[in-house]
Amino acid sequence: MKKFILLSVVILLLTCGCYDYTELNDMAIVSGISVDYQDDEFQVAFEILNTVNPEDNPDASKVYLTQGNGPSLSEAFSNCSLEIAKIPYLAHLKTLILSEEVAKEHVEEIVDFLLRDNHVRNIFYLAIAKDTSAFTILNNTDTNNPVVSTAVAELIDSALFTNNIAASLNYEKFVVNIIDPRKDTYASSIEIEDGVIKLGPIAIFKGYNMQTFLSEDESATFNLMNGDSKEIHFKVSCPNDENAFIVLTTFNHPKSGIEIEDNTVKIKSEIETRIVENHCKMDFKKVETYEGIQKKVEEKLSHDMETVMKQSIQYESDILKIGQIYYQKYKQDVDFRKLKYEYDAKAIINRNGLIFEVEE
Amino acid sequence: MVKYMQEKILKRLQEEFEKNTDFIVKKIKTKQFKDIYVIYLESVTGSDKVNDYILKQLTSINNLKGVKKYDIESIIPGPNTVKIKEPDQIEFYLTNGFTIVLTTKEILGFETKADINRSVSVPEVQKSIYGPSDAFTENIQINLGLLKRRIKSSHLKSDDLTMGRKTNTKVQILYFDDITDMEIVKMIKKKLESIDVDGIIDAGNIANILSESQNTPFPTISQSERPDTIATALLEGKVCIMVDTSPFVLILPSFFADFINPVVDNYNRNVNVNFLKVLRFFSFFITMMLPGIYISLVNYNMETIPTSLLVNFAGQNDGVPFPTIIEAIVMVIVCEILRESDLRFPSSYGSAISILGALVLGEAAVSAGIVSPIMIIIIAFTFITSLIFTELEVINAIRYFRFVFLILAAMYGLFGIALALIYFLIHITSINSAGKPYYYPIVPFDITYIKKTLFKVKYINDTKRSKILAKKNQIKQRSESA
Repeated sequence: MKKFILLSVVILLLTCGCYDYTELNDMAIVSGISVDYQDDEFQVAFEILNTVNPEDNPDASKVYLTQGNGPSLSEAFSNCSLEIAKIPYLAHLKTLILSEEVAKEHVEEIVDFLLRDNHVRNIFYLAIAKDTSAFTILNNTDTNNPVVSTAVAELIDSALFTNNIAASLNYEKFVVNIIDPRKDTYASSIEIEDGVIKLGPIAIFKGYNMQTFLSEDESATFNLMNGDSKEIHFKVSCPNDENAFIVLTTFNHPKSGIEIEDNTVKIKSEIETRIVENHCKMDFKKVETYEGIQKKVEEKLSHDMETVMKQSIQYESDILKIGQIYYQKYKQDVDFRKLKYEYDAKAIINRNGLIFEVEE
Repeated sequence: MVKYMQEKILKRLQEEFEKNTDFIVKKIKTKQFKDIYVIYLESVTGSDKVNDYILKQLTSINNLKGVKKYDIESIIPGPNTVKIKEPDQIEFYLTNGFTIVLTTKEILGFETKADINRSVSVPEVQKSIYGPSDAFTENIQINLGLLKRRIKSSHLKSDDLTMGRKTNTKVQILYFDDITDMEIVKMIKKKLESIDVDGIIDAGNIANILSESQNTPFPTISQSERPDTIATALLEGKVCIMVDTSPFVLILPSFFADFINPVVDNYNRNVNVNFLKVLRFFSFFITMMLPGIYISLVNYNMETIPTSLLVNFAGQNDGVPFPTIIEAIVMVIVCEILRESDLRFPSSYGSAISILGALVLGEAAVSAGIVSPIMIIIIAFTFITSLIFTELEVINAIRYFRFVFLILAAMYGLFGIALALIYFLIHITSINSAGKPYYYPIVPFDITYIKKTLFKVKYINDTKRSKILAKKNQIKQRSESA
């Protein structure tokens, strides 16, 4: 027994100990990566967090960028590492930014490359650079956003509670959607407006290839249909005056669902709303007033849902997972474009806010 | 006994106690009893007692009328008088403060112990804000008195032993005959009787001898200087060993849970004390594992640290020339040296050492770039949490396992932490105290004892005794609802 224990200890000590021991200061913590494709070459940039003691150099920037080019991703990544005297550490990656071209043509290579790297954690966000290069986004640091990758991740996180136009899926879910043949994936986009980075609408994919960007309204409606919305605003014209408007926002978590029956897809959405801005001159003590507004909201919602679905069909991007839902019910594949679609929107106003007398 | 024998015994004693300057022999000539020898050791007997109760009485024998009707025993007043039948026993009684009266007929021993005891003082080691403030002294009789003031029951029994060839130390095994599992008493008594050592100087000697067969850094016998703690242990069905000349009393069996949950918790409200108990339990694991966990996180599993914290760690480590593991080992060793010097040094110097240590380790070491500030925080937190435990032996055991965790974490990261934890659990569940499992009441699980140690129920609802300790009278009181 003693010999066995001794042998075990010797084997443990001499064969496998310390193989992945690394010192903190030997690592370059990569927080963001941008990937562009130009002249048949990948252009990769790392946003590396500066770990110099702030007391030693208070003016040092929080991050620095390194760039590398190469005909393949691995070469571009390796060349990117040549500029730093440390080992790139990707486990703390916050955001991966892809240019439109890369998103349209080279996502498969990126997914394959990152899946083979066991040091990458798949819970970062993927964003598509809209109307600009990915490097331009990553290099767009300012005093408000000293670390772009973190700023982008925070923009996506907070969008769910504000304008709802971000894709609330991390890289892992993004890849799962791609790999599954019965659904397609989508991603957030980032653009620069007046020199400031800003969240763009959702980009939709067919397989590994990006197809198009939805509009901002479509992005918000898509999130509502997908069940990812926390709060969504509706601006509708007043029932008695087309030129005046009223704004409502969802009150509780919206309920959405997709049901398939006899090759007909019923997309349902039920929202509870409250009035947040009122320019309608109507008698809000009457039930008919609310019914009129509710009808307007329902019409708009149905119309928006139909628009999203049309985009989805046009670009053959099954972002609402219709194919998967159909397969779960009938155990057979279907071309989601050939199904019939019905939209059922229901809106209830349960908080009307301030009610006051209106002069006729 | 004839005159010849009397002279022979005296001669033998004089030879045995040759070069013992405190060995006194007084010869008193009487008509009735012929020559009487009064023999005592001046260092351990009270000279006033010898003078007043023995010498004065014996010298006045000649003036007494009809004294032949009486024997010496009835002439000399004394609460504790023994007739010594074997001359071999004289040495024992002499060294125990008895005055020997040697006549031609008999050998008598009168207890005339010198009062060389300190008074009952407050507990120095096991301090408590609430609860009684008396502590045991070095006198076994006083200690027994302190205990019997609390337990007024004839069921509290004590088996007396004398241990140590040279020291002849009085040892008492205390237990309740109507509660305690007698198998434990028998086993302890058998073990103690089998011990043949030169001397027992302190209760710690017996604790070491009884637990030496267990190859573990954990203490398996607890020691207490508080009579209330001993009384509580006895009422629970435990066995206590009292040793003359020791202000600490041993409690057997003692479990892991006992060491981190002192009896003084009983004097606080159970709601408040339960919070502290949870805190203590966590502190045990923190003080044992924290340096190891830190090493594994910053050297192997950096992905588990939030990014902003990791950047801070890296920034603070910037410029430190040593690997983190070396930093950690050096700091732990330096802190151990400081702690040891603080313990050994007179208390008046203690604060100076602490200030020096804090200055050198904290400010200067960081400024010099020898260690990172985060390492100072980790080690300081580790040592502060270890101070929650008053039992020195528990702190030493934690130190042992701290190094195990540290080294395995340095080699295998979080996998090493898991290995060390498995080793710790295997170790702690395989040891025993007085034949009972040490990790009790967790393994084997016993909710009754958990309610007394790891958690505390209301005192009135603590109705049962632990099954493992008390074989009889397991219901000890009526509950609130009864």
